[in-house]
Amino acid sequence: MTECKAHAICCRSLSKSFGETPVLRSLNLCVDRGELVCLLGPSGCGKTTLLRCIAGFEHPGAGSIQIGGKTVAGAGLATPAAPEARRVGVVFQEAALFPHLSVLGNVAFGLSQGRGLLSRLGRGPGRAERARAREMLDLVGLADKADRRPGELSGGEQQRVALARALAPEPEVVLLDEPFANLDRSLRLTLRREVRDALKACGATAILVTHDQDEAFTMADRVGVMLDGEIAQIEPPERIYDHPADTRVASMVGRGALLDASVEDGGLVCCGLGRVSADGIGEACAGAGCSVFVRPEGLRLNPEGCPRSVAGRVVRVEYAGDHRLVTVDIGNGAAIPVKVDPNLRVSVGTEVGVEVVGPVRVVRGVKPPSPVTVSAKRTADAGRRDR
Amino acid sequence: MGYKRYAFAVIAGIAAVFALAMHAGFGRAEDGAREAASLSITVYSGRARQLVAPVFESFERETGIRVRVRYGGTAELAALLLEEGARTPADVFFAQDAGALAAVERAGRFRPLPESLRRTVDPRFVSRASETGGGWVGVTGRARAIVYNTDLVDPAALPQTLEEVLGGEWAGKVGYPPSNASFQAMVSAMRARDGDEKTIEWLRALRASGAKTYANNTETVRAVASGEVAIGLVNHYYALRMLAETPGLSVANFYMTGDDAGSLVNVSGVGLMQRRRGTDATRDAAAKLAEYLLSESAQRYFATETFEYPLARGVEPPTGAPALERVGAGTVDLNALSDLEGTLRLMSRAGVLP
Amino acid sequence: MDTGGAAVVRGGGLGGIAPGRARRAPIMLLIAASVVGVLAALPVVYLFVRALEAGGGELAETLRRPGLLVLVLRTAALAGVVAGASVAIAFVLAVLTAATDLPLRRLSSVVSVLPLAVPCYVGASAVVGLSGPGGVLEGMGTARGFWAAAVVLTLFVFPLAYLPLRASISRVDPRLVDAARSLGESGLGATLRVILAWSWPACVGGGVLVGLYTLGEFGAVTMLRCDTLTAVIYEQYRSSFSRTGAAVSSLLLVVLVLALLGVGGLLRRRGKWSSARGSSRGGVTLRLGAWRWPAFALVMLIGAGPVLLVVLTLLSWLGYEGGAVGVGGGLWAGAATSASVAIAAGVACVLMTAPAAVLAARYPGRVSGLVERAVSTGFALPGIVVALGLAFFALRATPFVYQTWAMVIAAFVVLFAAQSLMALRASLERSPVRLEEAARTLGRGPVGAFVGVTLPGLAPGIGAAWVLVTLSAMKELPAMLLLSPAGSVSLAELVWSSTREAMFASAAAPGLALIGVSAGLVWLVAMREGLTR
Repeated sequence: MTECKAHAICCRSLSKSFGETPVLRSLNLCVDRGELVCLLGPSGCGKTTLLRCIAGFEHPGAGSIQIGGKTVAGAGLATPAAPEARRVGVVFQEAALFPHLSVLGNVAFGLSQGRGLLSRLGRGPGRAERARAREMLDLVGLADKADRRPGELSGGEQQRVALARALAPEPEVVLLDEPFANLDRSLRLTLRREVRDALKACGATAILVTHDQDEAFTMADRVGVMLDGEIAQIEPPERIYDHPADTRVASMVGRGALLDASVEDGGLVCCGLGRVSADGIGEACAGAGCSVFVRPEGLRLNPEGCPRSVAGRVVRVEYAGDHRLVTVDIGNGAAIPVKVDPNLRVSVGTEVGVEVVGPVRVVRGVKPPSPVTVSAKRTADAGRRDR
Repeated sequence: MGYKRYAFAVIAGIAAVFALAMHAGFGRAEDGAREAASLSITVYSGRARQLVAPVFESFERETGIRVRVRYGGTAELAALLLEEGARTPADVFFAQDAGALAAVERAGRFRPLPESLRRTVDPRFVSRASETGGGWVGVTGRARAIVYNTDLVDPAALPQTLEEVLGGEWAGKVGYPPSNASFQAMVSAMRARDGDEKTIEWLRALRASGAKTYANNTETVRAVASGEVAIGLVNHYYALRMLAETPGLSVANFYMTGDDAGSLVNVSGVGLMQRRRGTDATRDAAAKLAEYLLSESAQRYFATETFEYPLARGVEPPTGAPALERVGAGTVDLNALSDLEGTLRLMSRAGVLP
Repeated sequence: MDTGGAAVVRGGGLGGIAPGRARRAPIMLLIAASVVGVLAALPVVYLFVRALEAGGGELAETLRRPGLLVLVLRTAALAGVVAGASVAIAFVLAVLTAATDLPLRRLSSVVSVLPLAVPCYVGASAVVGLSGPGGVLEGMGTARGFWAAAVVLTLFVFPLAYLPLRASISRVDPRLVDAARSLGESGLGATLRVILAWSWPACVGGGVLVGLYTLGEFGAVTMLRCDTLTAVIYEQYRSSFSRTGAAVSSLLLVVLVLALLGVGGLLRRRGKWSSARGSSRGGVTLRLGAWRWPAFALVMLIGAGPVLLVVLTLLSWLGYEGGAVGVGGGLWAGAATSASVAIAAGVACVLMTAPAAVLAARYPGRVSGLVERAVSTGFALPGIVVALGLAFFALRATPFVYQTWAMVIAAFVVLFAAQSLMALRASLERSPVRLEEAARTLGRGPVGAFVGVTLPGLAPGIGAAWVLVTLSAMKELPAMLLLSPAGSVSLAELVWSSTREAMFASAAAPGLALIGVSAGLVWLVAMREGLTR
């Protein structure tokens, strides 16, 4: 436990069920001071529940939570600490601004805790509180809207106010629960940058929950991929992309092909793409059978019959501006996504060859059932349902 | 939730249909023309159902005339009668106090009474106008009395006049109900006899003596029974009624004999209404009802059930009460009691009413 | 019922009012909505007729009556105290039953509405009986005067404020409370700083409704010897058979009503909720911890305590000698009459106020404001004024309906339309305009959109409105006495005529029957309001 003193927040063996359904399964998560961790996962994976447990809105069934080195739940604590005693700031998906207060009043809401209840009820924010609130509004670039009502702000502005409100009392940790989910795409892109800048400017520790992979990758110091109530992998974004810990992570993050493979001598594996050299055989493969994973940019499209290529037929072509993604059926029901130059015109039905040019990685776990090419699409769909 | 919603709708629907059906049946209930079989008359009764319903029922049994009664406060009914004017559906007004009767009389709403009816009752309790035009006749008498706590007070020491009530020995020991009609009638009587100046002086003195106020006669008698005050200025029958319900209560009535408003005998009385849609038959029936109220059996019923004085000549007074002749000093004109408004104004000037 | 009493406070509702909709109300709707307003304004017109009959001297005399200022101030103070106390109690109960993990919440919610089943005059006469000689409370001093009236009225009318408050609080966005707590606010602090602020319009609306009720209350205040303007109006009818003084006093009461509505409007504006949308997900749940059962006991004490006291008192009277004297078979006839008239009045009231509710919720403006004021005034006018006013017009214009049940029902519409309007309007404001607009874009005409979308939005309110009016009509007395066809019997009259003569024993049976039937209706309110969720 002593190691946790160094962390802003530390969850140990956290479990939680709603009725019979387990939502968190013995989950561990530690976040360093000043770090921004994004939890990425499909809806229903328990990421929001985890945030609510940390904030104190839900109580974990087992395990412990420490915030700023202080135990707030579990570990011999008779009753979990109340939300107000945790020094946690929360930004909700819908900004949840107090509609009866001005923007400034919202930001100053959490600054009056030093005063008595009657004073908090009766009087507005004091001079020092106003100054601090203005400072926070400056930080999020809304100093000129201090006297507006929340209803008069745009969705993005509301979220920035919500962030300022959460940051104002200098919490140990800020929890952001899909804060951009209700915003349109272009706004989301700028807001990501602004929120990250604001958090970093304050030196705040933050956990952001999202189902949007781009969001997690662009914002996070570390990305935690959350699946079925546990954190499958938590590492910097590059590591997650290049070295997915297992087939589940691989199929969730980015696109690529997952293929059954058998290990051969000399660092080679045999899979649908032929006999290729692969990384990480030792760590991931126990026996002869395993899975290998290739990103679309690790493959090249060749004319039919080219040497070192596997023959296949184009089944889908997607245009993405800076590249084209061509899906090739190489038999056995395996459809492989290949990234090609946007100017390369291929039509569906064309017989082509697929060549491995980039790294092939052996991953833990068995290949998930077809469709083989699991992509961000699945999580995106899930996210849409969430709204 | 779905089925509950439907259940609710069904309940509401059935209820509404039931209600409307009932109205169809009840609607225009006063329309005498439809009731060809039996004659029916409408009575506005300012006297409570519990007291007088049995009398109306036995009248129906004896005459076959149907009596429809609207029960309500005497004053509210008087106000309604005045509002209705000649369009009133009422044939008879049976009121609780002479003031309301006088007000309706002044508005010219009463028909003349049959001579025989007026002769049944001592002229003290018949409206003066009844000889010439429309008027009313008293049915029962309600005497003013001092109710006293028998444990606290020696009857011999009781005040004989209203003036004596103000005596120092009674300071803080008197209870009275200023908003009660019978007390106000007494004040009206005092005004008629002694003039406004003397009356307001008396009221101010009463208030200054620390007399306690109560909501009504019953409250006052209760306060006397519990010893909260020693004596109370009330009508005579409340103590009698309470003693009949709870024998052994330490209260008794004392009737002042002085020649002042303290010996007032107010009445409940009946008048026959001018009614545009009335027929000879309903007019006869209405007179019959008035006669019935003054018949010996009805009068005896009032004496035994309500402990009021029967006003028809020759009927015994209620048990425990002295003869009517010994009670009323007879110097107060009941027709003078109708200026209740002036009385109330006076009372609020004196500070005993808001 | 979230905006509770929005019906009686002018100034727009919570949601529902989309920006930039300066649409004109359809003329048919304006006419239909005005009907109830005109009906409710008739008694006021009558009052002017009667008051103007008086010469200037008489008017001046009436207005110079000593003690009048004190009387008006006392009346206003009673309305203010009862409204404030009712809102305070209602807020505590509504938070406990709608936003905490109180045990047996379903039961608690129903119990919180239960006092509505007891007519105030029955409650007052029970208190009078209890504190009199031989009563349980004997020796504790007689319960009389301003504070006795304030306490009794508060205990029996606070559910009028509870219903809108509960509806409002159950729709507080739980995220707001979460946000407040994560910002360091305690449960109590969040309740006061967020939930109270959220439900402020409902607080004001409920308070105004209770205040209006108190202004027009007659039975309890006279029984408890607290002279208010209404008590004096009755007294004036009794004394000044010219009816002028009473009319002038009644007009003073109308002024008080308008003042109360004005204060309500001001208080409401203080809230400054912009466009708060209710939460569609489940409401807030604060954890009471060790306070769960004590809080439950508190709810039972406030909700069921007084009712139980009254019922036990009535039961003990029933035991007196002659408990059933003078009532006999009249009891059943009375119960049937009371119930069916009240039910029909509820239906009539809902039908007549529905257009006004649509107008107020969708096209707020001058007409809807006037209708709301008229209807609110009707709610606060003493029953006798409404009865005489309607008699005045009916005898001149429509003599064929005089002395029929139609008169009673019309009087009940005037007296209770405010409650119906409140419930209907609130449920309309909960159903978003967007749906109507969507229906319009899908090719429905305005009528089609109304029938297909608005009417269903009205549905939850209809039940509540109907039951509230029916409940009030069951208990109403003066209009029933004066306007019902002669020869009819009602429960309220049976109770009243017994307690009037202090024949408590014979009041017991009809009193219990009245409370029993009303309790059944309360249960229906609870069902409709989703209190049993």
